[in-house]
Amino acid sequence: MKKKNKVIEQRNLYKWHKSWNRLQKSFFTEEYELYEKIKIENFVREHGFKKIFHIKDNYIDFNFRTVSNIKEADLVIITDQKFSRATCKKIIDNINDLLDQCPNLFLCLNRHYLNITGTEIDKSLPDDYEQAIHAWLEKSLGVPVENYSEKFIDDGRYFTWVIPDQKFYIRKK
Amino acid sequence: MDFKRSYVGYRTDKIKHELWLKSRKSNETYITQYDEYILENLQAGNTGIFENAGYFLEDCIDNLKVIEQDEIVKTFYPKATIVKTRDQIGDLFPDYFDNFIVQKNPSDRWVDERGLCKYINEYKKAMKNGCLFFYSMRDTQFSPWNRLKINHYEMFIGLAKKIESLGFKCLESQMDFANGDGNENPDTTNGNIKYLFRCIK
Repeated sequence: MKKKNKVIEQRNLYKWHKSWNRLQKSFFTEEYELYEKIKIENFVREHGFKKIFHIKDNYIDFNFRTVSNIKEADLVIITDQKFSRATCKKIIDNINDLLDQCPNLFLCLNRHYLNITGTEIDKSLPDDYEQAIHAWLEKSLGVPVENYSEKFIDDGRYFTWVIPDQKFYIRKK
Repeated sequence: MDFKRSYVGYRTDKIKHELWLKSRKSNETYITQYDEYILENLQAGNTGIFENAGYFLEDCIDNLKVIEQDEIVKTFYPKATIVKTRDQIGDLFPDYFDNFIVQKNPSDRWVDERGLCKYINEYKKAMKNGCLFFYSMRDTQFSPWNRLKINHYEMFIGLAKKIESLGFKCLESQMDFANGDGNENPDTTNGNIKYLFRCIK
C-alpha cells in the first residue's frame, strides 16, 4: 500500500448543538413540539410569571415573553448546557448569584454532565442518581427545591441536549 | 427516509467521516492524535474497525476491514462490510483480527457496565488470541450511573476490570475529565476514556 503523509487534525470534530433542536426536527416529517418545552410553558403560565429571563445556548423559542435584563425578570429559566458543566461548587454559587438578582429560578440540569471533573463526591447522597441530584441541590442551597423532572433512563432519545432533563423550581427564602 | 436525510443523520453521528472526505482528494491523510497513537501501537496482521467511519484510516492500515451497521456506507465506500447486529462480526470474521478498534461508537452509548460487556463479548469473537483491542468512549454517554456519588476514576477502572474478566488484559488506560470551566470533556472526538486491552483466549 502506498502510504500518504499523515496530518494530525488539531480541530475538535465534534460540533456543538446550537441548532440541535432544528436538526432533530428535520428528521421528523410530522409537526411536533417537545414535551419538555410545553411543560415549561405550562409551568410559567400556571404560576403567573410574566417576565422571563432565559439563559440558553441553543435555539428554543418558548411561547412566553422574555426580558433581556435579569433585574426586570420575575423568573429566570436556565436551559444552558454549559451551566451543568461547571464544577458542583460553581453550579451552587451560580444559582445563589442568580437568586440574589431574581427570587424565582427554574433550573434545567443535564444529568450526564454533573460533577464534570469527577472529583466532587458526596457518599451521603441517595443511591438513586435522580434523587441524589435533588438531595444535593437542597443540601447545598439550604432551601426547598421542587422537582419537576420526569423519571426515566436516558438513552439519548429524549432531547436532553436541547432542554436538559433534570428540572427544579427554586425560590429564594 | 430519503438519502439526503439519512446521510445527514449518518454524518451527525460519525464525525470522522469528515476526515475521510478531507483525505480522499488530498495527498495527505487527516487523522487525530489518538489515531496516531493507535497506528503506532498496531501489531502486524489483520485489523478491524467497527462503527466509526473507519474507512478514514484506509490509507494508513494494511489489511483493514471496515465494519459498519448503516447500509448507507455502501453508497460511498463499497468495500465496507455491513452487519445488522454485533454478533454477525464474529460470524463473518471468527478469530480473525490481530487488532480491533472501536472508537466512541455511537451505537455503544447509553448502556451500563453489563450492556457494554455484552457488546465487547461479541467483538471478542472476531479477535485472535493476543489481539489488541482499542476501545474509547465518553463518560457522559454511559448510563445510568450516579455521578455525584461514585468517583469517576474508580468507575472506569472498575469497568476495565469487568472487561478484563471477559478475557482481556488491560495494557493501558487514559481518563481525562473536564476542569469545570463550562467546556466539554477533553477529546469529544474520540472519547475521554480510552483503553488498550489484549485479548486472551
